[in-house]
Amino acid sequence: MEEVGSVTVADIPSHQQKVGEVLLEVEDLSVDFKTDAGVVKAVQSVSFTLHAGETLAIIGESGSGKSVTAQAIMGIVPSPPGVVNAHAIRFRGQNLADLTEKDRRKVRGQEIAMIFQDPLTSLNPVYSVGKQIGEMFRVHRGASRKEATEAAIELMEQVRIPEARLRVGDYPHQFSGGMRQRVMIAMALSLDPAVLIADEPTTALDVTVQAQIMELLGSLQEEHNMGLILITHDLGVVASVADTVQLMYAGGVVEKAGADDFYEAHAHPYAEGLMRSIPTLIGEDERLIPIEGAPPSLIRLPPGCPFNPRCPYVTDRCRTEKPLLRSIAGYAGLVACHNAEDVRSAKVGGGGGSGE
Amino acid sequence: MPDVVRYTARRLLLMIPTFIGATFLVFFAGFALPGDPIAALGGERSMSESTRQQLIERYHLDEPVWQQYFRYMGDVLQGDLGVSILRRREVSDIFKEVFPRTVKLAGLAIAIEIVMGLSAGVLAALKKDKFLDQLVLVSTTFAVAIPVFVLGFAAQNIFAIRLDIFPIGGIQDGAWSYVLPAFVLATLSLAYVARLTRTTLSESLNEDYVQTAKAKGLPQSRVVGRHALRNALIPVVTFIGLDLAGLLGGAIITETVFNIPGVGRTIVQAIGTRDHAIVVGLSIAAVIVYLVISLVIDLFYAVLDPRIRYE
Repeated sequence: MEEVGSVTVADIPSHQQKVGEVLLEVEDLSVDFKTDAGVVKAVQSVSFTLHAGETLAIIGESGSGKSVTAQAIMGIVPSPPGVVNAHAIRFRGQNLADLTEKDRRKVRGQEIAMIFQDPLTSLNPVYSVGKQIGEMFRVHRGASRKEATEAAIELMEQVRIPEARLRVGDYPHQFSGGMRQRVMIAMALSLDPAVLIADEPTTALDVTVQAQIMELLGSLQEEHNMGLILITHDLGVVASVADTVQLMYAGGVVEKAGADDFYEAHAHPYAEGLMRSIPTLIGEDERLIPIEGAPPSLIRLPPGCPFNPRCPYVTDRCRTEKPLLRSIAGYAGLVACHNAEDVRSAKVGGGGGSGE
Repeated sequence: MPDVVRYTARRLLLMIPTFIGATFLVFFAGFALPGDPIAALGGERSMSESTRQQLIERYHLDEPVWQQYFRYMGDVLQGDLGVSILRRREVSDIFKEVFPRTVKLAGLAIAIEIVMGLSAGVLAALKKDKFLDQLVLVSTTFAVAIPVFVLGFAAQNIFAIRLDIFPIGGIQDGAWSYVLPAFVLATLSLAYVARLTRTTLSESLNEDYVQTAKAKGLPQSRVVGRHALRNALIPVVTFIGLDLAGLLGGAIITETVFNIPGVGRTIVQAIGTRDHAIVVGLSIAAVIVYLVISLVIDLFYAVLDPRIRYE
């Protein structure tokens, strides 16, 4: 996986769309946060489906709503101030909103597990890693202390933590960043969940470690045939592992496509901007082109398309009418842009800048 | 675990300068007390010069202060706190008599602090900005604002005189005599414990590891109790421990108001009668108790927070 960090079209391994069992269906999910300053529309009508064995990448910058989407699926949006509204969030056909808190807890952690961005702050500093992994077996399986420790050691070996038996009693601060994230992964995978949500799993790690963690996640996913939701702002991470890509901006989905299609032929101006701002290891003299401006406030979204203040293709229509996800000719993905055809033809006409 | 041994050894070494400094200050302050101890011993009667000289030599009062200090500390380390000339008793005997009363009072007060302070703090943190939280904030502000002696007199007036539930003072009623004074003594710290717990718990409820605990599908009680509270308690335990160490040195105001002959009241009385031996002896005993308790707290702290052990 040495291509992590650099994205060129030629490098992207082709992923076949694996069609497994439908695990997760999210329909029309919205999350608001009621604050003193106003209502923060963190997520707006997001829908997607996840199959067994599939890796769905949710891409976006901070504040785009990707992490809150994950929290909503887990049912751990802090409330108040968070308010979750969804037509349905179904796991294996069961709408999670219909479950009692007790039944929901059985899904959480056992069926849908999650790992977080910063493994140091996400692990409890006062318990040994063995205790924290073993807790899953103690609470959900009623295991004895000894059984839980044995299970924890086994998992630590599975995520390739060296000398697991010696280190099971160590505390999080005694591990390196990469090893801590392995502990988080071991904990998340302990009860063999069907879905794993990884929220920026490599962002807090060294570049060299990032590739190892992604490789580990990839191989574990294959082994367990899990559905993986990979939340990231790092297009380089996505390129090597994702099957499907969902690009978020200001709480909404702006583009949705198979990963290969997306990398070859994204159609949203924001996607184009993101692609141009990725550093590559190949194009030596290439300058990075940042996206002008800053993301909008989620309390006061601009009318029309939320991206319009930063968009080079902006037209009057974009300032009044909010674009919906639609398919366009010659592209297998869906895109929420009035001018997607122009973006595409500009690219094909030689405007694209991703290193060819 | 060698880390724990090293940690303990370091704490013990750090105690030595504290011990010498604190005891020297106490000893020196005892000397600075106004009045001539020999004259005080004689009382109203006049004393012959030879008797006076004899007494000065017997108590080494002609030596420089530092020399007396080392002589005295040598005795203290062997369990001898000196002799009260006025009471004609060993100070260590007096300590053995009054200290258990202070222990009872302080122990009960700490128990009240822990039970009520922690519960109030946890409830306030869980119901942040709701009625219960506001109630805790207002009542703790009150508790902090009222001086202990006012609280003591008010408690006596209401619970001893009007309602006649508790004795008004003294220790004739055994353990029951300590309940009202313990509540009075606990009030201030109880308010601090409640506030501290509220702050630290509501902070740790926002920590990432609490989100992890929720994502693990743990029941709410476990998320709060095992994950958030365990971390939140680290500073609270330190506060309670140091408070206990302080209370064991004698609760001067409470013991005086409720007429409990513990360490605090005995020291105050000894100051009144210029009984230097008791003042210095009991104070140094209190210093030693304080140091021992704070060492225990430090060790307990390392148990609670594994990061400390490897600092």
